[in-house]
Amino acid sequence: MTDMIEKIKLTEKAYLAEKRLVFGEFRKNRLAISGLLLIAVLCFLAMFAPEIAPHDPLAQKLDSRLLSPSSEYPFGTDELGRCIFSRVVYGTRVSLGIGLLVVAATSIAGTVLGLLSGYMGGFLDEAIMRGVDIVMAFPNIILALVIAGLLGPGFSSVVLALALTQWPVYARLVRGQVLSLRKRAFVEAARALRPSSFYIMRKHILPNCMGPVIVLGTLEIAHVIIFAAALSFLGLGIQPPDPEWGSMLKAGIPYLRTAPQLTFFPGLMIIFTVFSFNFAGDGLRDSFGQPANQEVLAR
Amino acid sequence: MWKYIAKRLAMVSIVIAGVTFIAFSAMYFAPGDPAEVIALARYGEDLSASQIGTLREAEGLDAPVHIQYLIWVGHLLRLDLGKSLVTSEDVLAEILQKLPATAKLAIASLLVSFLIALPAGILSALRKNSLLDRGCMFVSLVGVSIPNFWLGLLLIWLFALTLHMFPSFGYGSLKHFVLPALTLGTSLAAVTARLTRASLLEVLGQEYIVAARARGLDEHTILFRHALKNALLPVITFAGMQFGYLLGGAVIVETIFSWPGIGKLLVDSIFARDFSMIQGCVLFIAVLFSLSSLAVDILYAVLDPRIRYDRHD
Repeated sequence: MTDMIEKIKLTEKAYLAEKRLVFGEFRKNRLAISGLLLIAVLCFLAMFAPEIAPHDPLAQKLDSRLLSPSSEYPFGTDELGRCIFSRVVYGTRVSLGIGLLVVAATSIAGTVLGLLSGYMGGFLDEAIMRGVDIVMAFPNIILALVIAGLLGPGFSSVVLALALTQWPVYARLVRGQVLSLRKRAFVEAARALRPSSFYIMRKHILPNCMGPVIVLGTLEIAHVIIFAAALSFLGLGIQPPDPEWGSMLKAGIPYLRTAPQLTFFPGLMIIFTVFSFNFAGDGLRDSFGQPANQEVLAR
Repeated sequence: MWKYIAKRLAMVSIVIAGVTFIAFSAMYFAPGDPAEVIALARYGEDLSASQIGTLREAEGLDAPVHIQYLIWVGHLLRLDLGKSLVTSEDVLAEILQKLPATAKLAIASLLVSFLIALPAGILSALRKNSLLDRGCMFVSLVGVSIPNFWLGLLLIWLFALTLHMFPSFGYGSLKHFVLPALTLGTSLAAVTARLTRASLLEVLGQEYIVAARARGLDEHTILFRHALKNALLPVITFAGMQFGYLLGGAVIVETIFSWPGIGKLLVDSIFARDFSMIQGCVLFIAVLFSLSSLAVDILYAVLDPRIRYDRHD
């Protein structure tokens, strides 16, 4: 009996060792490393926003409205004389905050549901997967738009709307992983020895699903940040005067001709942020050796 | 084959049933009593309790929620989506009136995306790891990261406000199509190009291509007669998902360019708290998307017989 358990551990170890190579690969992957460096820069901006920003992001100065970039105002000023650079820097906090919160919540919930669905099968599987299908029947941003719009604008509505609509991707991904892992020898052997499903899911299946979930989570942060900015851009998310990139873009539209810096810089910052996470996610995916996932790409 | 279609049909009906439930409950996402919110939307701030009471009765909001849902579904089955709470227009008629604008924009955007993505993806795959390939893939990664609302504003700034080449909003002539279709199409192209490249690379590595080379066929014949046919299959079926992307993106692009389509209708009715119009739009979009996915799945199974066996996950 103990002999058997040892053997199972060995096969799983071999499997994990194969996976561990991934991190060696990752270090060699310049794409992924530069993505992570860019993310580090963003986190730095968010953490030290008060030190980096030269002005108070909310301070209005009506005699210096719509100024072009200068040494005092690196990105110029907006229609109320606020420093665009300071607002963009503070905006990092909002966008990263929404991205991390939503991805943390949805990846955990989606993973648990995917595990249950894939491992238990039967009616539970059917029920969870039809739930996934129903939420995914609303393309792209449509459902989040309606939920956030009707809940009323604000940070918590945006987070809630995105969390309620983004979990199915993880559930679907993890379920697929579980179905293929179940056929692995070490899982079958463990099932023969240990009847507790919970133990097997926690000890053998979950750790082996984490790689793809991390890749998806990284790419999802990028999506969530774009979606959140889109909601604010439409006027259904974060509201002025709070510094948020999407709502700054919206506020800049009337001044597009005379003061394009109002829309230019917040947009560049969204692109930089989203690009960093996409870059890192792509690099991670390459080092995990996963094929490009259509569904992830499509969103 | 028929069994596969029957199974997909059954699944889609369950999904659509679920979709009606979510669309119906949209009314209860908003904080507060729906009757009061509707009354506010219709009569403005100055409300009396009796006005709200009459409205509650007239709209059937005094019945228990599950009865309201059943009544609503009953109307749905007769293709009656109700009337707008704000303008009293028929919801379905309003949506159908806006449909052509959205459909035309979607088709134009799809064309733009294919015109950019197919050549870029095919060239990248043929010259794998060359400077061209790396360049294309880098540009497409940047492309995926550009939010379409920003791209739209940038195009307006450049082509409408600075160069005065195209109008920045409105609908009608061919010129009006250029900027919205470019906005929606280029962001889609980034994804399609990556998919085309990946798919063609996979096909080019297969044995029948090696066999074709061994038979001495020239590269041109191999690419156009043998490889592309199979490589483009996933790209075409991906159109189902692209369609979803277009519907979602339409919301934003139509709002920026004041395009009179369903996306703008949805956003406007959210602002107006026009519940029946919101329900109608959401339901219409979701059903359209589900049916198009179903059609694509069936088409895929017809075109590629292998699918029927291994696509039952």
